[in-house]
Amino acid sequence: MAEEFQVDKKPIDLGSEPPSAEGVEKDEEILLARDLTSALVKAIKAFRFYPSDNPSLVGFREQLLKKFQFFLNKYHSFILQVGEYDLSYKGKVLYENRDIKTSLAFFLYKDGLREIRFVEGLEEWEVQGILDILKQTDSINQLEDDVVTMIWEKDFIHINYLATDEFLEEIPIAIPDNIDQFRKNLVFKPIGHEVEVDLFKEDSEEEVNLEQILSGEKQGLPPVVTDRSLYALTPDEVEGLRRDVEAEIDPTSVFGALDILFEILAVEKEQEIFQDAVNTIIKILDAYLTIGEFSKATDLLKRVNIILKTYDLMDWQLDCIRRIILEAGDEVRIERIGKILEREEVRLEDVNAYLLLLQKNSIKPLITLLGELKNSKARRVFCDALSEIGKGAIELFTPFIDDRRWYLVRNIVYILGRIGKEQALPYLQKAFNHEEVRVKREVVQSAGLIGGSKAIGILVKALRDNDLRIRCMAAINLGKMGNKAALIPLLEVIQSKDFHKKERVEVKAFFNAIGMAGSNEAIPILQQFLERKSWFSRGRTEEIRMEVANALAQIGTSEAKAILEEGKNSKEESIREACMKALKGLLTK
Amino acid sequence: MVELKPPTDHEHLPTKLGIELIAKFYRLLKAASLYDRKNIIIDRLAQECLQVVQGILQSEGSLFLKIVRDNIFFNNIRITVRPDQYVLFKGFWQEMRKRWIGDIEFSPGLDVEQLKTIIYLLSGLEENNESNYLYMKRQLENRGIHSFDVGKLEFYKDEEIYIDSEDQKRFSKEVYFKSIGLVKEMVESIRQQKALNIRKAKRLMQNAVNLILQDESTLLGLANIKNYDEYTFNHSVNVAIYAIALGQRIGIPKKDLSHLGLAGLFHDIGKTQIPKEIINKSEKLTPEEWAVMRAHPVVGAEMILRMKEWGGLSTRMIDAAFEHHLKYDLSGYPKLTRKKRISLI
Repeated sequence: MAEEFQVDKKPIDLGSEPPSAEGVEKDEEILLARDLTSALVKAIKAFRFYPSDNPSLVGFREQLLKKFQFFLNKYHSFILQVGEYDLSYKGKVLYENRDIKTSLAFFLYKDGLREIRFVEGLEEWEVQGILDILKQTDSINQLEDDVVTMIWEKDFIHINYLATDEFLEEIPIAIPDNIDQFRKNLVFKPIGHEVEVDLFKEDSEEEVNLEQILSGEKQGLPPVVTDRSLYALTPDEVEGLRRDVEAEIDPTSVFGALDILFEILAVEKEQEIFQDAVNTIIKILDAYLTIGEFSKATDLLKRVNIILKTYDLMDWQLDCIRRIILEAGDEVRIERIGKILEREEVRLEDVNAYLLLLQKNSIKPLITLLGELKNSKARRVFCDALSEIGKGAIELFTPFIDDRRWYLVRNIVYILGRIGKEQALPYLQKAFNHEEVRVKREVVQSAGLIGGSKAIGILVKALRDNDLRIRCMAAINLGKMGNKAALIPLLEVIQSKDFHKKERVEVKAFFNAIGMAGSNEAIPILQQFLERKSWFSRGRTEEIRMEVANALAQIGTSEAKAILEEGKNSKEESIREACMKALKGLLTK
Repeated sequence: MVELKPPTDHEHLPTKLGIELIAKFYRLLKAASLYDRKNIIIDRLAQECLQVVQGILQSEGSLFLKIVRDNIFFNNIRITVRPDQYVLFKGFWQEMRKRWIGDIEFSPGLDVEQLKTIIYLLSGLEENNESNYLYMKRQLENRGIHSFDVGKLEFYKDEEIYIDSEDQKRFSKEVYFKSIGLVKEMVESIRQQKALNIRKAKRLMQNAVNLILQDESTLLGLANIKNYDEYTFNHSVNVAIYAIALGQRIGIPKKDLSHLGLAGLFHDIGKTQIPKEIINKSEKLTPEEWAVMRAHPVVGAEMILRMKEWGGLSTRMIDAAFEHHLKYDLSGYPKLTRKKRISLI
């Protein structure tokens, strides 16, 4: 009895022996053919069952190849006859399954395949190729493809087939014996006006004899061959042609349709057709994103923007075209971008250029992706792009201030800072209470960027934080604001009792900040600091005098310079030295 | 999944050596049909061929050419052919096939006189005689030539239809008229807004490609039937045939040739949307009517866009429909809003 081939969802037992035939097969060739068929069926079953990256599939393929090679080395060819429900070799049925849903034989038979022939020399890629075809059942689009087409397109060298296409003929086509008969059979009268009249003249009077044509062609060289001598290509032209052919057969040539689609958008006034063109453009955009072609995807969106700005469009056309940009930033596409960023090295500048063209609808998916991205450089690109896209939409970011992932909160704080809206400050204030110090540091930077009285409030609070870096950053940010409200808290800190005990870096940051503020109001206090006899130790005193002198130089007003000039003549050596250095630095600047 | 198919590098060594050998051997074989053995040209060509043979044997250790279907293998590696080498390659392939010689093998020790003997033996073989290889083997043995051997051409079952020229004619006619029927059917499907049977069109074009790859003359001959009746569809079929024939000359692979054929079949599909009054008008068309006519490439591209999912095949079909009145310098119609590269298709 022939083997039953049933698709089930149970794991395949790789160690199992091929099912034995009923009765004892004495002919070695048939036994081997049966074994080979069984291996083929098993391999197909495995390829259908396991995902394509499953390593065990290699084993199935190699085992099948070995069996094929063994058989073909011995018998030179293996011809499987395809019956409606069975596969046979030299008249012996080796496989039978009458269930049309699962039968391999029926799957092949219904597409007109009547014989598959494997010949000696069969290679690994051919075994893989045929398995790739035969594993498909439901996935074939029956209006477009079939097994025969797929085998034909693979252009195997050692696998060929015999097929019939009679079944494709719904109405039998009569093949005329001669032209008169062909004319007589004409029943349909549509297209015919010769648009090419402006390109070449047809000789419609010419009588054509079918038999004459057919008999003439077998004599002598075909006409196209004689015409060949008319023009010989130069080596450069041959090379150019070769490049063109390569470009044409390159899978990315499918993107060539884009130019035509944009031409359609330029002329089409019918809504449904216009919509179809837009849909296909979106598919092309999807393909670009899938393969990480961000610069091309960016060009596509730029072309869309040009259309929006320059074409005279009706409202429905505007809506249609805007949809491209909206969909370019929707959840599905952003997820796709995330996948490619995690998987492959892409030029982040290109990604940035693409993201900058997106609309506000992309913000939420981009934030979601930001929470998942591991690549820190990519995260930075996302943050910068979101800072641009998110202008005027901070409400889309603020809910994420409560996110449990500290790094995402930090990124949101970063973005809010760069958007620079005061409305974000309450959220930053909240974020400043975050337990993660890196979030708090980001808050200080963002508050500095936003500025304003509320921001000063956050920064003043930060001046007394436990973290040294936060205190320094807060001081610098206050200094950068350059106003009185920011200066006063800084002066208060430096006048506090224990300030001189702080680390040098912090002392430097505070005086630097005061210098940045650039206000004469700080001068009296700075003068006091400069002239004060001693701070804790001699070394510390010298350090502080140096920072104070630098702060005065930074203020740079005539009043500040006057203090430094005076200091140059001080009896105290360290005052003189500090003032001279600061003035020298000022001159250099 | 790992792509296991070997790369097709145009300049890889086996192809270079294989083509070099074929060029010399084919020229010698053709010359043998024109000149006698003592002719100086034969002597020169035999010397040149022998030099190549010896060079290859020295560098590669073996020299074995084998015909497998449309391909020639050089020392078991498939030769990939550039467009400018195609005619030479195809010529050699045809000469060998018609003599039923499928493989030839050289080994060290061959001299120029032996090579001349071999060439005249090959040249004198009867056409379409399956036993030629046996005759050759016997003759080589009788003449003590052991540095050369031949094998029988292996035909595969699906090729049998082409062996006999009557069969080829019959099959060419079948493909040609079925294609015309198919275009009619497609137009009717579009009118009735039915789904198109692309699968059937693909199968038909595969047959057309097979025929042209084997021997282009018969199908190209049928494509000479031009426009004898204004209500026929043969123009589209002719375009498909010419496209495949040209495509194979410039080295477009088999799969893409079938797509090329389909693009040819459907290139004028936009005409189906032109009103009958314009199509059937016998007087000169008005400028407005011409504008409608000139819109058919765009209309065609749109129709394909609507009937077929975007992909490799539909792109080729869209290209053909949209660009078939555009010239390489972008003159012609439709007028474009921006420069684009014209596809070879």
